[in-house]
Amino acid sequence: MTEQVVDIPVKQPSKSWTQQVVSSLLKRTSAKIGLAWIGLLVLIATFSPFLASSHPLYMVVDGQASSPLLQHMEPLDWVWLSGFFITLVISALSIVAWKKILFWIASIAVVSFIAYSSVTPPVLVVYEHYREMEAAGKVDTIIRAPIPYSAKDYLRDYADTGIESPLSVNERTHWMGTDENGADVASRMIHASRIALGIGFIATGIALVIGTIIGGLMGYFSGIVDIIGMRLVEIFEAIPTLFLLLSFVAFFGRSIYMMMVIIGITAWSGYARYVRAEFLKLRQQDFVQAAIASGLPLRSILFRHMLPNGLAPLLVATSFGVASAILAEATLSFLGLGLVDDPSWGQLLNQAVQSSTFNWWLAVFPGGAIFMTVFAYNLLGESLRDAVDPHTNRGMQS
Amino acid sequence: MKLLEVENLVTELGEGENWLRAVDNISLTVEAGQTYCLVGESGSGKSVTALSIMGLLPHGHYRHPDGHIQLTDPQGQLPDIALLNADDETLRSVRGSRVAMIFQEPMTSLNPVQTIGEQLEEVLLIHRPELDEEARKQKILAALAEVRIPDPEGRIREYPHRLSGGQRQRVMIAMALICEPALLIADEPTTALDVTVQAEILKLMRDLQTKYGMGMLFITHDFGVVAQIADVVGVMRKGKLVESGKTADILRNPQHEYTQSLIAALPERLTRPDRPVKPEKVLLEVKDVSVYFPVRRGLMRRVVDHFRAVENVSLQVNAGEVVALVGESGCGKTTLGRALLRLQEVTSGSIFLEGQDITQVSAKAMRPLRRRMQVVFQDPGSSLNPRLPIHTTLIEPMRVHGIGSSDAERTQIAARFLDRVEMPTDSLWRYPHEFSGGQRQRLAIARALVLEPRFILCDEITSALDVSVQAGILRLLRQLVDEEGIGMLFITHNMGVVDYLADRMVVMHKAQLVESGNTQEIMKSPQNEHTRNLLDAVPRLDDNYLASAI
Repeated sequence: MTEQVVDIPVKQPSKSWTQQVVSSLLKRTSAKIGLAWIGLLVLIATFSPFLASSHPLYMVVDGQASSPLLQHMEPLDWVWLSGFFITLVISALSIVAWKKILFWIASIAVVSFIAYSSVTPPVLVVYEHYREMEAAGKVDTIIRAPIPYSAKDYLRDYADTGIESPLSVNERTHWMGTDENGADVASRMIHASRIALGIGFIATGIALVIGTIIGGLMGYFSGIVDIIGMRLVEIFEAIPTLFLLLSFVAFFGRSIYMMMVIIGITAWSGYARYVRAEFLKLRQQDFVQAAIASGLPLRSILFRHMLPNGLAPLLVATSFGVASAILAEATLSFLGLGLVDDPSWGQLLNQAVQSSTFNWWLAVFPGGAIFMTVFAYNLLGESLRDAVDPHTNRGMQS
Repeated sequence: MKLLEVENLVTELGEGENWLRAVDNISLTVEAGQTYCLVGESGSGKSVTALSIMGLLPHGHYRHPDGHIQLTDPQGQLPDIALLNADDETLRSVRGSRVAMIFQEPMTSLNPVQTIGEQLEEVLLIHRPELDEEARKQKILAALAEVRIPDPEGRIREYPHRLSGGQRQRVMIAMALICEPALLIADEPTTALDVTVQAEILKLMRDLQTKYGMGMLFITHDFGVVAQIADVVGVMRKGKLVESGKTADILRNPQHEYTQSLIAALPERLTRPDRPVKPEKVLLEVKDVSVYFPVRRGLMRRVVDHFRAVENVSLQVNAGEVVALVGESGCGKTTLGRALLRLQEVTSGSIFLEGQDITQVSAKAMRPLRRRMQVVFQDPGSSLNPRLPIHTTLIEPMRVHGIGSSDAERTQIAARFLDRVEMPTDSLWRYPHEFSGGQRQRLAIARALVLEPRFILCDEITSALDVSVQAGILRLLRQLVDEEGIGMLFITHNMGVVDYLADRMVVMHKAQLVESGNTQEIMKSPQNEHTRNLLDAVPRLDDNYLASAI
């Protein structure tokens, strides 16, 4: 063969599979609705301190300007905020997907470390303080959050039970009423959106990682590895998640992180089955055989040639998995075994039925939020399934 | 006696504003007792024509801006029916009773959860309600005997999975013919079958046609089949009928240049380049290789038996030579190919690559050796990773084997090989779904070539392609072997391809090697009975055929 230099044209943009799926996903109305709701939820969760807080955003007292809100921001608030902007920046970078994920995890870890070691908000918080100062006329200028109540700003001193229906008292504006401790329901729901999002993503993330690795190994090696792996899957499928959660709560107390981990390590079996089935099918595909025949290392065959091709059904299962993790947490909180003081949608629902009267606002708003979130993830899952399924695509085209 | 008359048929497929003209102004006439063959490459609109006649196109996704299809009864007893845009009621009464259809894929065209008998009976229940149960059973048995299914009495209680592909296609024919339709439409009924089975099915259809005086509209892409079965042939291209006429005239003396190019592209009609004489140098040697698959049963999955896929096969491939491995499907040729590449463990025997025994080499030690032996697979749809651009597919193996010092240099090498397989260099940045089947096979060949292998295994790489595309790839392969001195094992069932490409051939039958030797000699005087069957069964359009009378 003659040694000649061929002119290689400049890289022309050509639609990859991912781009195709995304564009066909965005064509669907149901996907748009689902994504819009989840996006709204992400925004609310990120900016929840600015949306609902008893601390004024900006305040001038005796000629001295200050921002009590920024002073009282928790480390977690800073992590959420910076995480949001890091995600925006990284998604704009043009690097390989797995590098993005690594980079994202690394930056979140760094930010969390900095936040938890340097940010120390005042331990004692007296919310009444601001209202008293305002009433006494000491404040020159004040800018408050749209909902001027923190999630833990209990107003039980004002009434007998503290529980108020929406807009029933003239001097205070509670758009969605208050709960039995007199805390603003709207504010608690806004702050609880973090738990809903966090538990969905982290629990499903843990399940996804374990499931993909075990399922991938079972599918690729088959034989004895497959037999052992499938028995493991069956054992884990036999564990009732809710009862396990209940007993862990009974023994080790209540912790949202423990719940995430438990939901994660009991939910992986489904993903493992999906990945195994995909890998068993993919292993016989010609391009995988060709990759083996080219002498490529196992790492490349598994992660570059097989995993991206087997990801489609996994994505669909994931969006349903997120929905069911949110439901699990809501169930636990509803049963009164969720978090003690921190807000959660399920806990608000629980209060709706506990008092002697039926407090509709405690049922409708959190119930609606749970319903909408689970519904949004299911919508997204459904449209994702249609978008990755070549048969439904063909049906739309022909 | 006119049976079916299609006039100026136009079929457009699509929806909303996007309409694609799949059939463009086609007129044809099928007469009773005559076979009209529609031949063309994939995408030429031949199947759409058949589906338009049957009214089987997907609801709401087609339209007929023009055209007329008239079904007449040769006996003059039944009314004439205009089939195009007829209502469902009319179409249902015609389908099965007056017009029947056989599809390509015998594996999926029978309902797997019903017995053969039930499926045949259903047709009778609908179209012959006057028959009682006993009469129906007699008719079913007669129909199965007609298509030469052994032991019809026992077969009617069996499910489709118990039958082979050929037998299923016979059942499909029985189902189509049970109501004695005047017109039979067959859409590539033998394409999915082995050549020997194809020969039997074609003969059966011919016999049944003569017996019942049916008209037949036969769709195929294979000129060999056309030569065997057609009275009249119509050549389709891009929805248009470019040429039609008596089979003998068209095949001997094609007028349209497209027909001429199609016939010239048949492997048996390709001009053969002179082959350089090379010193014999053994590249790959296979000695007594057997591959058994364990058959496991029961709770403990004990090995109760072995399925013998390959048994005691020995062969050798020299550098700069193409050896064809021929046999029916299921004879073990693909398993043998995979075993040669160590993609499948060998039960016994040994494989030598350039004198080195690679049979027991560990998977890790095998990796560097893989550079010397490459493979191209059959299915162009799955031979390239759909998620990776061609650039990555080509560069990655080079990087692993240390070819080229930088990615820029490897890109140059990749571009050169793309040039070699006659693909534009901007293919590098594209994804597999942007290419046609033939182009993908070229890219798969390029992937094999970038490693500069000594040996390439080609597993039926042209069997899913159209003849003209196949011709291009065959020419390319021959060039590569002659110029680069690569040794090639070419697995195929197409005798025309063997004749064109192979220096030597080996024939496998039921896991065993039955004959091997020089291609020309075996073609001329096959020694083994199975080889003879295989050669006889292949419909070919060579000089001898054209010289003889049809």
